[in-house]
Amino acid sequence: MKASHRIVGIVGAILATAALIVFTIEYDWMGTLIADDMEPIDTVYRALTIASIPFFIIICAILAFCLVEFRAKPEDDDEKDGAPFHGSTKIEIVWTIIPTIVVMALGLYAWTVLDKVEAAQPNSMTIKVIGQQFAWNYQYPEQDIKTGGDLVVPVNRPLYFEMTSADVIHSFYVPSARVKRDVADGFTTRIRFEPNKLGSYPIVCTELCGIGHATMRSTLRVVTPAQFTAWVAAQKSAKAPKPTGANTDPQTWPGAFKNSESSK
Amino acid sequence: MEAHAAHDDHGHMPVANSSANVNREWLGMVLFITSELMLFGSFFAAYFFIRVVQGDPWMPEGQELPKYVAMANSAILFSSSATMHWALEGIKHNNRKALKTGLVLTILLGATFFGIQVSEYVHLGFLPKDSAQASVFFSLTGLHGAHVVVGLIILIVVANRAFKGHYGPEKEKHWGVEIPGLYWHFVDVMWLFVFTTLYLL
Amino acid sequence: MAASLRSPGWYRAAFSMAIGWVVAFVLVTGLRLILGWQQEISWESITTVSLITVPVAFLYGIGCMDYWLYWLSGKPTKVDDHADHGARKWQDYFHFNTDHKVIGIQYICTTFFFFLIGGMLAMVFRAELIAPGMQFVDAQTFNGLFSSHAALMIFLFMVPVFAGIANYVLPLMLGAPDMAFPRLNALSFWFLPIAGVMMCLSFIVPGGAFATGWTAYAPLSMNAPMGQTFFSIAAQFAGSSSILTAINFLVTIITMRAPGMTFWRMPLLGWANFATSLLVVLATPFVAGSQFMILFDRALGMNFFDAAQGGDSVMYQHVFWFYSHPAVYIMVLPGFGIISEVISTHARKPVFGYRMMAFSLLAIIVLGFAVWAHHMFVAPMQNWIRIPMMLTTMLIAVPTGVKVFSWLGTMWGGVIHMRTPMYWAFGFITMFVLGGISGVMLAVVPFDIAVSDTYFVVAHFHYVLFGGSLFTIFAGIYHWFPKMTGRMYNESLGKWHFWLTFISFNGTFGPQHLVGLEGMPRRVADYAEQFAAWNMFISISSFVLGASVLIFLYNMIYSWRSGPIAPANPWHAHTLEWQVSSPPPMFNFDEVPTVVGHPYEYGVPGARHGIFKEPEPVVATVGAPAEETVAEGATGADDTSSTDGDA
Ligand code: HEM
Ligand SMILES: [Cu+2]
Ligand SMILES: [Cu+2]
Repeated sequence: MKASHRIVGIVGAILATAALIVFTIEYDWMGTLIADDMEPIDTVYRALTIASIPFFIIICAILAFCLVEFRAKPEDDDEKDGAPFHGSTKIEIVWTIIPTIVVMALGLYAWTVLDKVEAAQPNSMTIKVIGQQFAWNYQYPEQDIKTGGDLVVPVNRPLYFEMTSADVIHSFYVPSARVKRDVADGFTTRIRFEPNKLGSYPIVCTELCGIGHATMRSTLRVVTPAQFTAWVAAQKSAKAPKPTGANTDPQTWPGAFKNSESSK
Repeated sequence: MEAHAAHDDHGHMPVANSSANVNREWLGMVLFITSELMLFGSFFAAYFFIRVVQGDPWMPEGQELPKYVAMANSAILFSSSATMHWALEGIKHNNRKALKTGLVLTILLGATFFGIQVSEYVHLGFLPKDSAQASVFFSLTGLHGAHVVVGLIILIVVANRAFKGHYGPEKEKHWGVEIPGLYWHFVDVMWLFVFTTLYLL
Repeated sequence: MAASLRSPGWYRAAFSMAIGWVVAFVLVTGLRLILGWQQEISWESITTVSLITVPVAFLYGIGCMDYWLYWLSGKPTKVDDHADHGARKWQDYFHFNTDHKVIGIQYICTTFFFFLIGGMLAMVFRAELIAPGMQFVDAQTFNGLFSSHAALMIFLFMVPVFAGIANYVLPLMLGAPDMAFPRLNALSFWFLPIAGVMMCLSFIVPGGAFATGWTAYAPLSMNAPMGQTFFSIAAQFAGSSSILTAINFLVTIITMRAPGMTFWRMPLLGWANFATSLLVVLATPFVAGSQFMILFDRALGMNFFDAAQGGDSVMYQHVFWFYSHPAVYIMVLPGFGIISEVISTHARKPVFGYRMMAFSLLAIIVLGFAVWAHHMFVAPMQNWIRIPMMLTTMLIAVPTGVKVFSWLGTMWGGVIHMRTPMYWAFGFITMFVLGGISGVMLAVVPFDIAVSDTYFVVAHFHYVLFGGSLFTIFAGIYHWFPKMTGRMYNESLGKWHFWLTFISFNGTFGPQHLVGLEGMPRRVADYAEQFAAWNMFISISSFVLGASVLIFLYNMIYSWRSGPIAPANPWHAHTLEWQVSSPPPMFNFDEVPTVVGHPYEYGVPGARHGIFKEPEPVVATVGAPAEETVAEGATGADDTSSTDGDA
């Protein structure tokens, strides 16, 4: 291979790395984020991707180099062998130690992020979530409301969810808040986040739960505190619309919360 | 593998090299027992999660296990390991009588154990479906019972062959006793764990 | 007719299966009569029991048990009975056979058959997913489609196809005349069609195919229709098959290597299968346990998972993943072995860091047992478990990385022949690295919480399983095709197959990362409008991907029938399987070869791996991996009658 080709290759690889890194930083990978305190999760994703790009590029570059440089020439004898080179302990140590350090550093970093995003918040509003084939039901103990409709929450107030299931396992997933947790009969699982953006966002079930799994969706409606108070009042009045979907009264479900002590 | 070579009158298959100083059947049985251990392990995992992680009482109210019957029964099963060992030692010293008596005694003891276990099931007064603990109890003892039955069938075959004059004191001629014996010892040792965790702890 | 009913074969199998069904009927109905139950005939219970009795009867009928029954009756053993050995005509492949080469082909063809079925199921549900809303099938059918797709691909293709390749190649590589337990080998093979047919049959039972995913999570699977029982029992047959094969491999590898082949002179495919088989023996019983519990819950009314009765549904996940994480390595470690063989052979270079290659396999299996809960980061599991599991999972990338770098080191400075197997090896390295990268990302708990159970995970495991494992399978099939069939495959069709697959594979699974990141859940029959464009693209790519398999099939069938005759050693490789004719003689070697050196000594002057002569005193010192002895033995061997089959 000519030296100029080599330079072109190396420059190309560096440019590709740089371009991919810039793209990773700029691109909106996971859509709207409504919870500022979950921002570190998006950062983790970007950090992981950026750490991986050089690895991938180096591997591809070496493969490409081998392909060009070491490819058998048409005139080569079929039995012409490569160099009888069996390895090098030094380089093996290097490529064991460096990835170990990289992954452990990323792991420790991720650990701190996990602690941060799961840390308890003062003044949070508790909402109970009950999954059921095939709908989500919500109870607001503070406001004494039950609903099978939208999950309506006030903006800028930390939310604390206590979740269980009336039947099989479901998974409560709010893509725009980057949180997800399974709900299972006999367990209470907990998640938290604080919505900071007004609007409506999807809630989906991500644990296969039967025939209606794909359509087991709900809506998160982040509203102003005033709207929230109004909504609570409307719910409490007798004329409040009955829960939609396939819901019955959550209190009558056999499984709901009966065994919450066994949760961890 | 010399034994194989001696029989090799077809002349086609070259004798495989013996690259490790172990008997193939014996090694196969050891590996099989390892996987059996893991199978029991999966049910012990169920036991662990229900009793320890979840902290449910063992056993629930009104589902007591007959500890002392099981203890006596364990003694019966453990003694069958001794008779099995005796049978093997017998054939190693060309004592065919010890081989035959040992095998028959082992089979009888094993069958007694199994009979008592079945009658325990009948008299327990609860069913596998009555609680998660009962499910674990019945499946662990049942799994073990199934192994006893398989062991008994193998031992009956071995005994049959012993009465027909097979086996001998040479090393390669009593693998046919030693390997089923290994399985039987495994069944007994497994019972030690099943018994301790289910009945005693 | 009467005679054919007495001798093993399909007639006897059909007949005994009928008897097996009658036995199930009588057993169940009789028991219900004795117990005085209301409804004497319960078709569901009869079917459940017959799912055990009919296959056992089939195994008897086809001839798997004849010898053992003979032995049980107390007659003297016939150690050297080779009546069931070797295939003379193509029909022999449809009968009980104890020749590892026949069994290997039987395995490969059977598993590819189920691969095609699994693939067609995927085509159907990709068609359904081409647009939001429901187009062709209803939601229940959809769930059945992806569940049986996954179950067939994992239990009937990925796991056993490697057993098939190794079945054919490994004894040859080790210099053994056969596997350690040929009859057990045949039995393990015949478990497979049973498992596969059972899974497929679940489509025609009331309630439809099992629809709870390949993971069959409790409690969903407890009350699912009949098809679920088909899955649970089929998984038992497939699992038993892998355990018995693994025992067979282990015993073969430990006790039947050719004289002089120490562990450190064993080809890496041997090491890979050694590690995989250890994993299978230790882990597969757990999937058996998990399916037993499901079966007991379903058939006997037990309560392992019902919270109201004190059961624990998360326990199912622990038991299941304690097998199923190792299972993902069961599905790729043999592929690592294949890639090491392929790269070293076609780059004509010794494997870089041979010992580290072996050690990293062992590191992977040890670590592999300590990571299972990374599949449960969002499950109702104790929170603290997530951290150690995250760290072990990330660590497992290190030995995996060592292997990748060593493959690059192997190519470096070689003489690379870009034949079809090498294309697949290149494809494998790049795609598997991408899958490994997304794997490490998924190991990171805060990120996994966001994307677990979305299409991002689907993309990850298709990159490691399709771009990883399946590419190694293709590499291996092309690499050993001349050995297995005695014919050469068509190179240009092989390359077409590669490029079409490689491009459409990335078109299919690459965008799944994106929709996953945006929050599209997996296992859904319908999805939000926002994912429509990508899904259309994915579906269309997947059809091209499906079509690319046809090129492969055509190449295989056409070349097998009328490809050019293959020389014994078309790649001029050093390992033992290439030193005998293509295909090898009935008992592999007319005389057991003696191994005098390492398997990959390309470029080392005068180096030999195996020689065909009686062991000389000079090779009595084998066991010590001393390089000098090897070289001496090798040069001394030049004048002996070697059957090195260079044509
Ligand atoms: C670098 C090595 C790897 C790491 C760190 C890794 C990590 C992970 C993690 C954390 C998950 C769980 C994701 C979730 O459900 O949220 C996962 C899923 C999965 N991985 Fe990997 N993985 C690796 C390699 C592999 C390999 C080699 C295979 C198979 C050949 C594989 C097959 C799978 C499969 C099939 C699933 C999905 C299982 C399911 O939920 O159905 N992975 N992987
Ligand atoms: Cu769901
Ligand atoms: Cu895993």
